[in-house]
Amino acid sequence: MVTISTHEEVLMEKNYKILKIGMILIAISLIISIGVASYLRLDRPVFLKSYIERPMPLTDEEGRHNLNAQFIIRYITNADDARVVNHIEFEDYRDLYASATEYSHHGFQFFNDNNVQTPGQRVGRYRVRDVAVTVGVHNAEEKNEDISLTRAKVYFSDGHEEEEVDIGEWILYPDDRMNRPDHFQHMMSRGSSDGISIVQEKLKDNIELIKMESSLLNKYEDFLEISVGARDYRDIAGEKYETDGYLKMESVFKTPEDPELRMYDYDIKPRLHYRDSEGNSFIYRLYNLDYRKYGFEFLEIIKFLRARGEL
Amino acid sequence: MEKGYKSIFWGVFLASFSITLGPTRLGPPFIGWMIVLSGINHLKEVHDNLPLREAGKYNKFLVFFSLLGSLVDFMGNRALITPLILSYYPIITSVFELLMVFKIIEGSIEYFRFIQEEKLSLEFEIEQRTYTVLQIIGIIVFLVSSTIQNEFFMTLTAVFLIVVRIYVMVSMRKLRKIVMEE
Repeated sequence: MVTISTHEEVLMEKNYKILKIGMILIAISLIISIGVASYLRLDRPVFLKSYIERPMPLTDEEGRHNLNAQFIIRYITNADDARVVNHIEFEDYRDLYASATEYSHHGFQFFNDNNVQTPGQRVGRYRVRDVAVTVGVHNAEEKNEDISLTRAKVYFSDGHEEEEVDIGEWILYPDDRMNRPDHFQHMMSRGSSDGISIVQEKLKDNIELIKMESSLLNKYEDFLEISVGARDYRDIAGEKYETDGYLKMESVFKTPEDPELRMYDYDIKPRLHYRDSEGNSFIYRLYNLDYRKYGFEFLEIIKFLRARGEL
Repeated sequence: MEKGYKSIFWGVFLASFSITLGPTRLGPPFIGWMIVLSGINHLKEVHDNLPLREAGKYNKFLVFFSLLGSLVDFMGNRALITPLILSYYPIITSVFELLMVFKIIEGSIEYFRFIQEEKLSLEFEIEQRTYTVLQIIGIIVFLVSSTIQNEFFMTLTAVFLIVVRIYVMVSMRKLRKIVMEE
């Protein structure tokens, strides 16, 4: 007959109690985990918008469309989603030809985990994927107006199609870089990663400012400040600058506070309209007004998806 | 009996550490758990008791689910399997592992009681409790980290679970030493 002291019995009972409580805790955690994981699961990829202006591609002398505008369209999908985007269409503009790929060429893709085959940046249960989109226009030389793209049809490698994707607004404008007005002598331009960009031009002629505009500027109102001389860009009409004077334009792009807006891409090239001494009006384009998010955090993506109503 | 503890020690070792050669793993976990089963059987030969029989039963579940897990791994990338529930299958093996080790230690405690070594049985009741608490924490932390899928957190959890396995191995080594001295 084995005698067991009461002390040992109590100890053993306590161990069983710990085991029992532990099993209950594990079961509760498992239920919560599965619940959270299924809540966080996306039913379909969520495309991020971008508000971008790009010079419209022109054909070269031989008529080849070798000058293409490139965009990046970003989307968030479940980390285990192995499909890739392989084609894109803009149904509003039949004259447009477009191609899309998720595999990088010439460093066009910014994130790539080398140890996995699926492209994109892994963030918790999600993956942020960059699709390089090349857009070209047939007979671009005949077009003299801005083209605005807001919706796209996106094709995935498994045959799935995502209809009516809201891409934000992409504006293709006739490339005016070749015939820049000759009223300015470029002095300096400076940009920094904190969103501040400065351009200074020396004037070769007397000019009078008319306005600064871009159809996308209203999208940026809350986080973009542009000053021309010392004035806000909305308040420059009638400002006069004389020959040999300096025109300084400064812009500050603040990271948007809104959890949704801060995830999007921005790159605008507003037009400064002015008159020369003879009263002819011209356009000067302001560059380097862009913002693009690079690092992502899991919570930030969850907040974004909630704001978009996808979770 | 020392042969039994030795087998359990090496079984746990094999189940924890394996060499990965390309897509195949040399010594997948279920082989380790099968060696543990032979260890449990050795122990039963010397001192058959209910906890050890139960440990054997849990071990069979463990072998089955690890084998299933290895098959799933072998068939292809686990990331491609969409059913959510499958990503939690390591929880099942960890729970059976917890129950099995709990019962192996309990069986040993009963043996010490049988041979009237109360001091030893007391010592291993404390070891049993420490192990139980550590393994439960490990499983819950694993659940949390695999839900948020934070790589740093997941690595930390894996290291923690390996430390718990080492704790079991040290316990088995200790038991083997004790029965050798008996």
